[in-house]
Amino acid sequence: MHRLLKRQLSRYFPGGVPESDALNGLLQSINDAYENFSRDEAMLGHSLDISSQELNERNDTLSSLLDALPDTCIWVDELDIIRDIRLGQQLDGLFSASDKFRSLDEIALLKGQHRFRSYIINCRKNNRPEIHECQLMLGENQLFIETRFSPLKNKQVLVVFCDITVRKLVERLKTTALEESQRSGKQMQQLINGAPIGIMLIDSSMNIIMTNNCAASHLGLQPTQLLGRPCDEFIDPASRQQYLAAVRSGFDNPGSTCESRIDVNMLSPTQPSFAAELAFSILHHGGKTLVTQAFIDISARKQMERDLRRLAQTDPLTGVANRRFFYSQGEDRVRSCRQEGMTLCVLAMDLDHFKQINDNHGHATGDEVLKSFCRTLERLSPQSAIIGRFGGEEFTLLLPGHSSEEAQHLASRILTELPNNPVTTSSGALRYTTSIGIASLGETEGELEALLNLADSRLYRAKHTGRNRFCAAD
Amino acid sequence: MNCVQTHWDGATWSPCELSGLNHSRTLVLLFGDLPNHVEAIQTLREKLPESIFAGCTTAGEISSWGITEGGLVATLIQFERVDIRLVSTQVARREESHRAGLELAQQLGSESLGFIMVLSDGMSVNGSELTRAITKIHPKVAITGGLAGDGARFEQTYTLANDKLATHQVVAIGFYGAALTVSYGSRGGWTPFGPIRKVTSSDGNILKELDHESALTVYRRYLGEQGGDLPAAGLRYPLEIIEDGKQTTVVRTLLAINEQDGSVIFAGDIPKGANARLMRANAESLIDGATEAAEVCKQSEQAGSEVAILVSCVGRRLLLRQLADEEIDEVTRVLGANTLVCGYYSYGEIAPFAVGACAELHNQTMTVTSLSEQLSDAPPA
Repeated sequence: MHRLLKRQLSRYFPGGVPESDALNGLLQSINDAYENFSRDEAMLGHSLDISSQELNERNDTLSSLLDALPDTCIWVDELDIIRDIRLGQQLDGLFSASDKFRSLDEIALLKGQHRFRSYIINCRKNNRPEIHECQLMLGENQLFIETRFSPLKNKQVLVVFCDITVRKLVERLKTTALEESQRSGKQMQQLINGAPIGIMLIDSSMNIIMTNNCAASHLGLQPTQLLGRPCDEFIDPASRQQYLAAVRSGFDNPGSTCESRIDVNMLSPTQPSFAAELAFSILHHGGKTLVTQAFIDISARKQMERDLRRLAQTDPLTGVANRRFFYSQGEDRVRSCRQEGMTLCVLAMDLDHFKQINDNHGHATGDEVLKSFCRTLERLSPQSAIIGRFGGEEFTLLLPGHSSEEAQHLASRILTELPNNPVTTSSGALRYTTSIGIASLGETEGELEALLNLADSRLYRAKHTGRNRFCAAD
Repeated sequence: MNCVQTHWDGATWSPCELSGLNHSRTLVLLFGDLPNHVEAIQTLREKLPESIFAGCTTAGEISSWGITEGGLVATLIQFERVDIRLVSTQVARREESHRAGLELAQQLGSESLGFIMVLSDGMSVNGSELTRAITKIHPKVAITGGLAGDGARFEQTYTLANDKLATHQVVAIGFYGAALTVSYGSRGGWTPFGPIRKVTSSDGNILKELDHESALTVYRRYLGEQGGDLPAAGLRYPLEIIEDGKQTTVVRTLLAINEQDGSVIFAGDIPKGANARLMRANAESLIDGATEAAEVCKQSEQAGSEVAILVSCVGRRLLLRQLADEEIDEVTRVLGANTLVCGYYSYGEIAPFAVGACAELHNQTMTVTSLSEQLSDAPPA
């Protein structure tokens, strides 16, 4: 029986509990309830003991963790009295153990630090952490401190001091370096903007990182539209391999100062492509190696070169090869056909009665006849043929790879076609004819000259035997 | 609505006058030792062949006669305008719980569905997943109910679906029509204490580690020498589960232990990464919790309730002991003398924590669901 029930029964029934089923049942229930309440109380006490023990262990662990942290922290109560100080490994000397239980007003370090007090007030008022940076003098050293104010219960505040002096100095150095780099970059941009040629700076990722107005205007874009784009995007695909090799060689040999040049076709998204001469050089800027690509538009120069070449090689009236170009080309063909055992034929042609055409219809009509004759030759001749004007109304046709029979067949077609292609004059259609002498490579062992002489001799034979015909080997 | 309560006195149903109640709109809720009263159930079924029978085994029956154990109480709720429909399914393995919930919810349909009452096997079903699945299909329908009990043995529970009395079975009853008004409240009266611990290892409802310490070790330490045998003794210390991003917390009660791996099995999910705190209560706080549940239920009532289904946790009964009737009396007092109470002590309670919230599985709570039927189309005053 429960101790308490036993005590109560002995008090109220000193002579013993009267026998009664109802009373016994009641006492049994009361006893069960006492036992249960006692057991519940014991268990509750036990569980609260365990719980307290666990919470204390956690408290110790947290305390050890705080001690192990490098930061210094103070625990300030609602009256700004320091309740606890943990001196971290950093900021040695910021506080001393004797500052504990002192008011913040008494701490020399914090005197005059009005902002520090306002942060504590804000933290209490808003009940949320505040993080600020401040500068403190510790002896002769200026320190940069990050202070974290965390609200605790009952208006208490935990202030953690973290020494960020090194970080701030590094940040300051980085800022200075960045400003220097930006200034230098700006100067470089101004420098290249003034250049009369297109300039692009390319980084090691092969992207354009700086350019000038001249480059952008050649490509029909704004300078900012070029930035960040792959440098080979504006190069004709046929030249990209060569171009990229030239750019890469700059990065592969950053110590080299040697410049390289290449001619490429440059592409623009908005304008026709153009020929450009590119010059590459190495530039070291802001700790990086860059390739400078300068370019000039050489389209006009290239066109002039092509025009000069054409003028030097062709007859200005008819557009066919002049004697000199015909000889240089013809000699090559003769040589290669001999080496390769191929056939080759020459047709020597002279327009019949051309002097009369000039006399009767004027030189302008004569010129039209010469041009018309050349167009007929071009139309009937194979692709490999070379047509040359040797002077006046004398023309020569070189047929590499063609046999004497094929040459005769062509001569026959020329004679047949000419009457069908008259030249129009003021007095009506003007028809003309030609005489043709044919020589083939197998007939002489000599060079082109010998072959032309043989064809010439047969031309004269054609003239003497009535004109408007061809003569070949007998 | 016509409500009648009767209990099996060993030979007959008392009272035995049930004429006029045999109807397809009559729901017969049977709570008690069903496997040992098969003949009694059959007798009642013969009287009410048209009615719908649902029930489960318990850790104590709740009725207008108070709390009984090992008996059988039937509460007949006859509706005039509300249609009712019972569906059931088997759950062979815990992993099938979600599937079972979806299946039941779909079988009930949604046309005019106003309330779902769920009675589930208490040992083999993951009540959290079951409830989650049903709320997924019917997010706006009121859902309450509970898991069956088996005294303080935690061995085998049964549910009844008309003629079928079976373990591994879940029963859901759908109530259809605008005439039904339902209100509910669920509260515990437990207080968290001690350090907050992280659930560092768990698998569904199996809690393996708290703060990297075996969960069983933590329980043993707290129970001490006087704590008695687990798992029943563990009911004294349910766990409050606090999940990041969730406004409300849930209480989880212990169902079983595993000596081999030191894990503890709970009546609902214990998500890994959640924070957990042991909870404690005393008789007064539990009774206050039950009172609050009834008051919450009463506040959302549109009309006076005619019947209230009380599902209270076995853990409460074990702690309240002789005072268990007090919590029933308090609920009855708040709801009023015109409300017929029925229900049981369970291994888990299903209800929303607040009106409008989704239903969840709770433990260690008193869950009150009150029903009334509107007899005309006019809105309740």
